[in-house]
Amino acid sequence: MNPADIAQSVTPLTSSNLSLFHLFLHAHWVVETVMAGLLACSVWVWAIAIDKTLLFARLRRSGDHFEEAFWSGQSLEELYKSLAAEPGHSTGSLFVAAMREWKRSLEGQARSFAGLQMRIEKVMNVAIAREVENMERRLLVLATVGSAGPFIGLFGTVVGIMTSFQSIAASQNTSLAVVAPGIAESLFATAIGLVAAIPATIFYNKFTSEVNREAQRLEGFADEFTAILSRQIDERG
Amino acid sequence: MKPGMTISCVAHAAALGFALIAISASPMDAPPMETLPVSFISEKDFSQLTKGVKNAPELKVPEQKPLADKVDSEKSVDQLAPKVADKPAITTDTSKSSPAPKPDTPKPDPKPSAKADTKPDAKPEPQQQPKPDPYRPDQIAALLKKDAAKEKASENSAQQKQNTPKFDANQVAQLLDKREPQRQLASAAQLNNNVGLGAPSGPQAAQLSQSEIDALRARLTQCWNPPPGVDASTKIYVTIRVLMKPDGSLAAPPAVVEGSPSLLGPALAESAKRALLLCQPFTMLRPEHYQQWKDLLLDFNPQIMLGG
Repeated sequence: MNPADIAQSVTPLTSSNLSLFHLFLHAHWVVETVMAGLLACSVWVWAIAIDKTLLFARLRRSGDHFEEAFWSGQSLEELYKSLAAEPGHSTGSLFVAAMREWKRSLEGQARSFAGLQMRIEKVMNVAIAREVENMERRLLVLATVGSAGPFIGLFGTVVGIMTSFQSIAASQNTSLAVVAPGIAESLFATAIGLVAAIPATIFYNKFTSEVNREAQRLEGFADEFTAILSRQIDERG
Repeated sequence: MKPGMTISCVAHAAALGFALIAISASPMDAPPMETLPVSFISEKDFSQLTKGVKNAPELKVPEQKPLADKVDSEKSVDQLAPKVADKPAITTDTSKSSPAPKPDTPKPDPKPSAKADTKPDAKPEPQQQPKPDPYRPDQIAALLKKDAAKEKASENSAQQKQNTPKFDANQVAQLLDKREPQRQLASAAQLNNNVGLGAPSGPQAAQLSQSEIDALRARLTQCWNPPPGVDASTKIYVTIRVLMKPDGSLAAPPAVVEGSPSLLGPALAESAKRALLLCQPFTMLRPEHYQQWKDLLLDFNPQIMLGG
């Protein structure tokens, strides 16, 4: 083959620039689908991350607020009246659930103290479970994207490299200029997969530890409050 | 969920837009690479390249590229001549190129003046020095004649006898110089495209072919009559050096180079020598490969020659 011919056949391929937009447009449709899906995953992951960050900040603030009021020596009846309309989240809702059960038991004619402590514990456990479930919602999405994102990107890369090898076979020219665009576009799929997966993993670990911390706090409060109510029950009974 | 989704979408759009602007601004264009034309030559072409031509055109010395070897200009031909009558080629080589790089060395001046008084006819050297003369084998004879004439002249003159025994280290170095006269063609700083006299040992590319070796081995097996007591299971061998003539006959009696220490050894060596003498000439060796088979080391190993 004449060197001049090779040079001429190579130049049009290199003239297509390797910008992100061209990389996306020139890719195989499977690769394009993978890229678009991974981009959507990334958007979704960040939305969840922002949402959870806001949620945990709100929970911590309201929990601090409530505990300050609870230990301030204020009457529990007044605290219940102020919170009953809008229990909010975290420890406040626990308190409201326990107080409601307590009041119902006292208001009834039977005045049954026998199973009261057990009932209060059950109610608080249910409230804790509901709170934890609310906090853990959508964290599984982060875990899934974090673990599967690189593999999805790798799948796009493999398909892209397969097509670029097919183009090498078609052009019967193994120069780097023929191989490079296809490999670049398929590596781009892996890049997007990593971009989606790395924050997802980091946020998943962070939020899992936050959920654990909040759950501990709720259980600690539940135990303390149960102890207080139990003392009351024993005094009355 | 609403604020998180909105913020995420906006951030991703911003990042993508930034990437489009920042990365597309400098497109990763691959510059067209230079192609290097490569041509293959066959072994035949290669041997023809190294072969040289008998009727090579005479080299014009001024057109020659500067030589890579440092050529010494200290010695003169007439000092060398009485001692090295058999190496005129080297002297002409060195003197030939010395005037070109150093035209104004002070050395050539005193010698013509000193000798012009005594013998004007016995000195062709000062005239020969500036003349660019390529090495030609047919000139050796002429130079030898000149040297002979010079020797006679030097015997006559008493003054010349005083000068000749002067020790010169450069002269010794030149005497020790065993390199081929053609080396200057190959040692030039740049490759010379002119057809030269060829590589010193001729076309090395032509190798002794396997069929010739096999034919020689078959012939020797045929001729060889192993001594009694030697059969295919005997662990014994002898290596014999054979010097050949171009017609395939032996140039010298075959000589034992080495053999295994055994009582049968001398008998085996004698039988091998007898086989070589009986079977000559070895016409299966082609004369054009004479360089390869003029000096052969042949192994006589009953395990191979009788068993195989």
